Amino acid sequence: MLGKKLIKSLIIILAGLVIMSCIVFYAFAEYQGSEWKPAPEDLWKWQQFKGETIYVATENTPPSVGMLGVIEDFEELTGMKVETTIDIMDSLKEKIFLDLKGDTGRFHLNYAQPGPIGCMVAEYWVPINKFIDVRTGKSLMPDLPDVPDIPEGTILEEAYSPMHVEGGCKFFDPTIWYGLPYDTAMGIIFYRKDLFEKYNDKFIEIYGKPLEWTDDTTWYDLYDIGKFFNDYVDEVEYGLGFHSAQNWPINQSYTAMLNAWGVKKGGFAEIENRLLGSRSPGPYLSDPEDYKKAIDCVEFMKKIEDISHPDDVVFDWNELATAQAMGKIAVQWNCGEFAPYMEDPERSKVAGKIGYGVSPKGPGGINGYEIGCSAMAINGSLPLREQKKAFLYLLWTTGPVAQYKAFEAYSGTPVRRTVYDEARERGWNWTVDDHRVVGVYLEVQERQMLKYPEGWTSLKIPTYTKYLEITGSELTKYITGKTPTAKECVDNMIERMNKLHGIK
Amino acid sequence: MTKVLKKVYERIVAKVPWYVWWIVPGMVILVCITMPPFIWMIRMSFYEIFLSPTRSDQFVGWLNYAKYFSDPDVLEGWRKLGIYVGSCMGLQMGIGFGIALLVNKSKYEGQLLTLFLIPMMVAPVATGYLWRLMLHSSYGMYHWLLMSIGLVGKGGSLLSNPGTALWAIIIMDTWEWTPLVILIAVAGLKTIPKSVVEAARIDGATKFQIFRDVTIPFVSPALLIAFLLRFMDNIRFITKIVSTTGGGPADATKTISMYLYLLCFRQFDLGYGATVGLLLLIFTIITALVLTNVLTKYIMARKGRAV
Repeated sequence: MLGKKLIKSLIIILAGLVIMSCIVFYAFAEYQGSEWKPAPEDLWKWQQFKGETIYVATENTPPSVGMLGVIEDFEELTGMKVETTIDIMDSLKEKIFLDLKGDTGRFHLNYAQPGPIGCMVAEYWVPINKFIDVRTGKSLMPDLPDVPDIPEGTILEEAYSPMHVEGGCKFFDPTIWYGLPYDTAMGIIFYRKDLFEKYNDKFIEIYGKPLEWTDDTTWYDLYDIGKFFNDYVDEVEYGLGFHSAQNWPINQSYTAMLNAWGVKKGGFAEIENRLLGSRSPGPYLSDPEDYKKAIDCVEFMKKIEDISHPDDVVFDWNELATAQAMGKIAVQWNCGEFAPYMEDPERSKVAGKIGYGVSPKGPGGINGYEIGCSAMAINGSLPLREQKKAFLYLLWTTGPVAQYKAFEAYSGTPVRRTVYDEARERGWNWTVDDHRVVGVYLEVQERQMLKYPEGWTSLKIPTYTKYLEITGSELTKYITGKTPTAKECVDNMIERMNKLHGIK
Repeated sequence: MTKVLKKVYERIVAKVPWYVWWIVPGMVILVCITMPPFIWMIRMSFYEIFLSPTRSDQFVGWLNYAKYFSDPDVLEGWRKLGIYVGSCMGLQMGIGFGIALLVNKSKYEGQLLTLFLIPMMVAPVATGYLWRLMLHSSYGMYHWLLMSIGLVGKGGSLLSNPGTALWAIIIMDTWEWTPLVILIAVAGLKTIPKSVVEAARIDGATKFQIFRDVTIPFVSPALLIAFLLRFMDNIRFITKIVSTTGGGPADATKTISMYLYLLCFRQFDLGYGATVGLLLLIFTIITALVLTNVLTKYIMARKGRAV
């Protein structure tokens, strides 16, 4: 009897000790962030390809430009040389597609922008599941290191946001990771906070509401703000800057607004998982409610465009940011990574005058936005040895040190959560080398990402590039007056999209 | 075997002029470089080509050709190409020849020619980007000039208006390539025999009659070369469209050549793109042959009468 009681007590005590040790263990399972260094016993894994070269193809946006500034760290750590081809999206796409389809093996690593690149060529890339346990980040090969800075007991996905992993690294299949998250350009609002303060009273007088930007500000409020600045404020030429250049920019505006209007999955109702996409998206705007909302949304796009800067139909991301930096626009919706440019007194007339906010809410009650959340992926046609070389760079460039340093060098859009934590600790804004490093947009970006995850559409279909052409062509025709009505514009898109997918 | 070789030598080899053999190696290399891709392109036009490694190319027969003749973008593309080529040719030939007449035998002919040739030395893609910057509504000098004289309204640049975007590109092309026409026309003007001009003057011909009946016929062969060169380039080149508008706004600058580029290198619809490319090539060859034949006969006839 006593023996049984003793055994029971011992079991309970043991269980308690195990639970306590787990709690203690997890409490001390902290990320190292930018302080992370490879363990001495792992150095040989990083340095096994000393003297060799790897070739990377990536986009000419701040995250990659920033990465160029810190590439010496990787070269010093590994003894490898990195040759980076950096280009605009269309040319980059061309180079990557020709390399993969032609099997020339020119690039070890590709920038894996989900829509224009990943949807089309993901199957050419190496599943990262081959090298690591995607749950824990532990290496599956004895000669390769683990994913940096994943404390024991934590899962790999937690080092990023779940959205980045699902939306950036996976294509159609929920189990395969085609890369690791690399950057996350995100649409946020840039507004002239100085003019908002100055003209608040007048705005209240005319519109009966304050001139401010909150998480609940809607697209209709944005229209009122734009009209107000056009009609009553001489300090700026135009109230709004709105992306409506053919194909990529206007598509980003359209997809974000469609989502804000409550049309899910980019209008393809049959897609099961909005972040994974589908090889067979089904008919476009087949749901009658979605159809009505799309017409309303497109009509509103024209209304917004009519009061926006007239060159929006040709401006790319940089040019729209430049227009605001020169003081010509009061409010723009653009990628957060342009904030440093706006805040640099040497390049911008509006440094210190910009406020940042989450994307506007639509009638669907959603703050719809677009992200260029991209992974970095490894060319699968290369021999295993070359893939391993590429894998080392992948680990480093998506790791906490490179992400933090690249952000500090050029203010990009980091994906590692530790960068956001470190920025938060430093109060979001600090100065480096006399250039103001803007972290405040990171706060807005993080809030948008974590508080409004349903705002992102991440449309992934194998015919994405043709989808871009169809929507770009039809929307710009309507916006410039060549197509008379929004209904005709939407009907044209439906007809062409369904024809593309063989749907009658 | 020796008899066969002897016969081949006597009937073919011995009759070929000796200088032809010097260009045979070059011709062989040219054929080897150009023919296989051309044949492959014809093959591609009968297939649907998939980018994905898990799907092999699918034979679709004449489907791509049927799609071509029912594609509204194709008709629109040809219409825009017609406007683009027609306007560029008219402006470049007219302005080029006019400047050549003024420059030829002028006091500062050498210096003026050097000045006029500068735009031609700029790479086409650099020309596109340069003009894009100059026409930019935020900081472009040309935009400011055009606004100052009231030719454009506040804000909108020429490139952002579907009605003016194609014309802006025509002006860019004219700026860059009129110097080539000037150069060729000046060379042609120098071939006019002085004796013929003198004879016409002695016979009492007016300046206009000398220009119409002597100058034009003698310079026409040179102008024909300039015309053909520019015609072939205008049909094919899309550099300025790519570097300025990308085919927009609202497809305003999406000529058939630009559409071909978008199909092949943006959408990667290589099968249909091969069809569009092949038909564009056939059109270009036929048009060039017809123009060359017709214009050559006309020029030779007029030159004969001039002499």
